[in-house]
Amino acid sequence: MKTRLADLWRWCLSRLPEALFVLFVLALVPMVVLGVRRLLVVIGTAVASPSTLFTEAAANLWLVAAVLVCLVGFAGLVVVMWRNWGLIWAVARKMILEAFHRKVVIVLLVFFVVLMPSLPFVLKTEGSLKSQVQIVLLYSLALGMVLLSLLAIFCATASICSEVERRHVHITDTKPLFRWQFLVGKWLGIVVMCTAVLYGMAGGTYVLIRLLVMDPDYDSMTAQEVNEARDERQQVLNEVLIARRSVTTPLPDVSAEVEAEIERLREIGKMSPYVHSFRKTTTEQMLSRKMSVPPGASHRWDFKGLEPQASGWVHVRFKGYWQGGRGIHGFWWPVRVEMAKAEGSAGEAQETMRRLMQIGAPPGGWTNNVSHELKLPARFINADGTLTLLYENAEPGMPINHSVVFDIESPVEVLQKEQGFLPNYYRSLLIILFHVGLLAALGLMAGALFSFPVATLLVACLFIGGLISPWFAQFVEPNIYARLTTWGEQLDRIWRAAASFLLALMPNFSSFSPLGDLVGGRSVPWGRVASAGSVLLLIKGGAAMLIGMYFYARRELARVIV
Amino acid sequence: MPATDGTVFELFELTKVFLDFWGRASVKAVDGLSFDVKRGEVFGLLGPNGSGKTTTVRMLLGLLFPTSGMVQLFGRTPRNVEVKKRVGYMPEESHLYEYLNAEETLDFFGRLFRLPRAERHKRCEALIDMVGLRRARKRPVGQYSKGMARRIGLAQALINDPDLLILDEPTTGLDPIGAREMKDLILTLRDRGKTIFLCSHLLSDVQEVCDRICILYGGKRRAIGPVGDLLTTHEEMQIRMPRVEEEAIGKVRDVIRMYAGPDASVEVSAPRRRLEDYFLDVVEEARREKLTTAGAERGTVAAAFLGGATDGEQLLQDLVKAGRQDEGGPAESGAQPVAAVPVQRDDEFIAGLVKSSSRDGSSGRTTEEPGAAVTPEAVVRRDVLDELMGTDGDEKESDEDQAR
Repeated sequence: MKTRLADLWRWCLSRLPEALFVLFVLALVPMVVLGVRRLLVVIGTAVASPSTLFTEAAANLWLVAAVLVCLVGFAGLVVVMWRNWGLIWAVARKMILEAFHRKVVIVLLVFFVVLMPSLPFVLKTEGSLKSQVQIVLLYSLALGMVLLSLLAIFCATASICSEVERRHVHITDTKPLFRWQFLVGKWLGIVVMCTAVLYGMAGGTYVLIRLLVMDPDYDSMTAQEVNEARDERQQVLNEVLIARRSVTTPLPDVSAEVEAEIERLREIGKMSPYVHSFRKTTTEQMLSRKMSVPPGASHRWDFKGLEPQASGWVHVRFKGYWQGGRGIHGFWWPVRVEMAKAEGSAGEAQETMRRLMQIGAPPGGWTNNVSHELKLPARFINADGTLTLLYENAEPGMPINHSVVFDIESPVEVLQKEQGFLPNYYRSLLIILFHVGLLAALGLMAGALFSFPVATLLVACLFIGGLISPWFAQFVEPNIYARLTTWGEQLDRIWRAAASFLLALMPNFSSFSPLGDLVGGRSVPWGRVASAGSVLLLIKGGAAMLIGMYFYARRELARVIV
Repeated sequence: MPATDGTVFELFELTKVFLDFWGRASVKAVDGLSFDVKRGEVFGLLGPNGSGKTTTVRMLLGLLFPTSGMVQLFGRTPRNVEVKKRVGYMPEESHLYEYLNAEETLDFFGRLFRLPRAERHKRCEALIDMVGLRRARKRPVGQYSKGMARRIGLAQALINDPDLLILDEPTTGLDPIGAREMKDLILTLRDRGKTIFLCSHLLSDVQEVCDRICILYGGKRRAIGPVGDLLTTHEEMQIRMPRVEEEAIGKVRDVIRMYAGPDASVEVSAPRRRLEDYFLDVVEEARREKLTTAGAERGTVAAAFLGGATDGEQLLQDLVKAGRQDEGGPAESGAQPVAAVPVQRDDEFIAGLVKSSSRDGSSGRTTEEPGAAVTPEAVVRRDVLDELMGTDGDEKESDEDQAR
């Protein structure tokens, strides 16, 4: 019996690489199909209205560049793989077998499987179903991403270093394959394996979330509990398990006013020597002032680029602070702006606002410094895709004597349903996969240059550096407190340029991270997927692979580097 | 430009200096080495430990780069992939992937030569039989003994039917049977037109199989030439004869001294058997008693796909293999070793035929199989012949079933 089981296990393991590759291809099929569909739409637009496309392309140059890099890069990758498939797959297949024989994958999977279901019980939430789902989704994906990153780093460095240190290359390098094919094969093996593991983890997370939002046993509940449970469930479906387009209004440009203020203070001789610091704080103050609503006053937002809808809902998300200390009060009004002449007047038509609906604060107001969502009928969106909102800092029967300040870091936004949750989830997973692909390339590059401990340490440092780079980036900003001499200023500039360059080289995942948007029910657009694919995978990952190939091809493999 | 004068590889003033961390020369492993090897030769590179043999081999394979001088393999740089297609290499230690079993190992290396699936499978089977690892084919290579690992190392070196086989210490780690088989294989491959380059410090092995040798010391060439020329002592002679009385010996001494002078030294002694021959006889006896072993089995003759095998040879080898399978030979079923005596005889008989059909008949097994010779017809079955002659596969299967 044991022998048969062992044989069966061995048989399964020997077929595993092919099975994982099929999974990998299936995982990429939606990307290709949706990408081609998108491309066809763009081509259709170009044919129908070239000027519109040109204007849009000119307004989104970075996006266009990212898409072009993706198209060229992925096409090149496919051609390279196609032409060298036999050799590359032979190496990739062995890489997968190696990883499973090392038991690393199994240990990480077990770790994830044990930890993930315990998240809802371990993590503290606000108590609502929505926050529970958000926390589970966020931490499961973050956990999966970290585990996969470690897996990619370890597999890449350990594999390439052990090939050299255990002298396997003494045999493989005498076979008719180029060394770059060997590295590409290793990379493909890691990516195929990580894709399967990632989609396995993501599938587990999705099942867990679906279990959380499953209908409870309504029969054992009171009518009020049933209503509350249904509302909570509906809230999760409408605000988390969904992909919504996010539309914001740009913050007002206050730079001219800030510079004028600096000039004024200089003239009267009261300007602080810390110019950078002053500029930064004054900008923030002015923006906050612009985004504050004094007692009895109102503030208007014009959101553009929404899809006109006859039915359905949109959500308005805002975060603010009432200076009085208690919750935010006041009213939100969707309004229709019309141009009309006043009765009997012969002058020019004037803008008038017709209030369509009033949304008041709940008892006690909206909590300070917490994001809130309001639900509005989508029919209020104008035919040109504009929605105008008005907030009025007033409440009948209550003395309002403090301003409400809207957060400038997370400005007021309108969220409109674009797609279901799964396509959004899929795009998020693609971005995570690109990140893992980059780490695998970095691991191979380091392994091609250094011995195992050094290579692992190097890539781990890069990984951590990438994670903390947003925090580190603040140090690259002009030194706001330093009083520098001329030489000091020059050195400061050089240091900032070098640090910025190093930061740009880091595998900075946070600028593409889909986790915040996914958890907030916002769309992760294809544009971001293309940016992540081009920057993380094709440019940075490609550069790492090229460096690795260059040095590996010139390395004396029979000499072990310690 | 590929070589056209029969030169397989050429080393010209090859020098390798290893540098330390600071770029200072620490060791001069090879110093101005020059020689070439022609097609169909068995060439031995000899030298004590640290004489530069392995460094030379590694430069020949492109694993190390020469500090100065040049290596030309089939007229090109050793790192050219077209050149690598024609080379097989067995390193001193079998640096194979411990987690792959014999089949997976050979399949992996077969893929690297872009061998089609069916051909890969066929070669894997033939090589596993050849190196006697059929019973251990499913075991991970990491669990193999050193000798078994050497055998699979040899198999991987032959998967591409190489024109040049480079063997680094080929008999190290092998038991005397394995070493004998290795030497037989080298000679068989040489007879099939392969070029074999081996480096070793086991002088008796080299002496047995090499046509030419080069001796290194301190990275420099100290001697080079045909083995016969280098080893023949022209000042002395040796006579072998049946045992005779002491009186006759005295007369022989007298006659010799009459011609060689009265002070000439004449030694007379009874010849001793070589330990290798004696050992092989003992093992053969154990085999006849059907004792089992978990290790490597006896290998078959060189796999038929290894270039140069004649049609007749291939047919005979297929018959041998089929005869083995017929007896339930493969160990994957976990069955006990079969009573292989008739097969063993058949194997020996046909192997003998194969050798006698080889071009110069120089190869030969030293193991002897006692007992009456059995004609091939006694074990060769019709179904095998049908298969070889291209008869329908279904018929073959039904015949096999009947036979079972």
